Amino acid sequence: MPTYEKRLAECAALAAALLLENGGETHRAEETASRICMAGSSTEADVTAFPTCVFIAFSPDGGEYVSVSKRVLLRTIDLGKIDAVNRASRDFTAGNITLEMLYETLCGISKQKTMSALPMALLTALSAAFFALMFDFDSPVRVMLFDATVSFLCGFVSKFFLRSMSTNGMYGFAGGFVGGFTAALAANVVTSVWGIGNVSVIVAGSIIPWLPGLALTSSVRDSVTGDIVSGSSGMTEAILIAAAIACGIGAAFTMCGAIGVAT
Amino acid sequence: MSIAKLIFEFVACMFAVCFFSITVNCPRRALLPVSIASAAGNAVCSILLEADLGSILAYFTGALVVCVCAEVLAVAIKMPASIFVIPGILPLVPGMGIFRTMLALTQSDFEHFVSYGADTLFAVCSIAAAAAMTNFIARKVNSRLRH
Repeated sequence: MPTYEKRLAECAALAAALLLENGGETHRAEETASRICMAGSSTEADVTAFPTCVFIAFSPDGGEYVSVSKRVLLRTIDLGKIDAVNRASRDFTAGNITLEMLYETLCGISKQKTMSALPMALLTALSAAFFALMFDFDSPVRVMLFDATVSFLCGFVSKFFLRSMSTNGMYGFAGGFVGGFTAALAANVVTSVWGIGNVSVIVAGSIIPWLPGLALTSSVRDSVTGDIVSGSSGMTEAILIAAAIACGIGAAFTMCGAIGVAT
Repeated sequence: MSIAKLIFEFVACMFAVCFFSITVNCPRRALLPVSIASAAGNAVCSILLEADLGSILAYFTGALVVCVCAEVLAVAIKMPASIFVIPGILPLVPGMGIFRTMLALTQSDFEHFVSYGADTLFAVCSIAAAAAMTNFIARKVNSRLRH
């Protein structure tokens, strides 16, 4: 059985790492870890979080400093886990649960399985189809349905392919490239074969699930609130994902132009 | 902008955001509020774009609507605001702008590449600025209320 201080350090690091892994902001991870340390009898807590690691140092009851660091390897978006960690930390700071209960809850959250490839791909495809519909009000119903169907298929293929490959670390970049490439290729091929449909609507609808909206807004938010390091690294990530999408679209258009199916 | 178009876009946006939110494991009780907030933000942005008030103001106001709703919902439903902001701003991120910019580049149409690229960049910065501003104010208000 580890000492109380060691368990407290583990819990604070695990909570911060879970938030960073699942799309939580840097300041939220720092605040959560700090609150856990302070609630667990520390008089001082110093937490520094980056998108890839978290460092925690605290002084239990004014005694010697205990420090811990945790590497954050995964980067995904799981809003359910952010909510669960937030609730567990609130419960602990309010005194509703003990430190051991907090540790068990956090371990349980980190072991939670994500959705499997097929339902995930279906939902992404539905989302892409509705986005295509949203852009397509002025077109005739036949074209509208055609664009939505092609966007559905593009969303399904790219998401299913990437989930099956489980490219954890590369997810944003690989997803952006494959999403952009599939959408632009399919849009060009089907519109030139069938002679109906809007290439721009199909591509714009299909790439929306891959756009780095989170990375971008989080990075600006981090920069504004003073986390310059997290902000600039997040901005780099967002630019690289956007560039990957753009490269995918560009590659598909160039290819279609070369084989003569560009519309 | 016709009412029919507005309603159609609102409903399509709601469904699109709802399905996307499920893929990012959004808690169930947040699904409906986030879909409505997101569609409302998108509708405001569309109206302002149609009124030709400039894309920067349109995207900024649209994102502001989403982020203010997110902060209010965060307090009301007791969840972190990012749960509402992440899926909420998705329809505003200018996918069409990125597409047009890249299309112009592949066609060596540098004039349009620069103009579409600049528009897209400013739209993205407006969204991020609205999100940052709302978050900053919400944190200040929260810390005042706590002390």
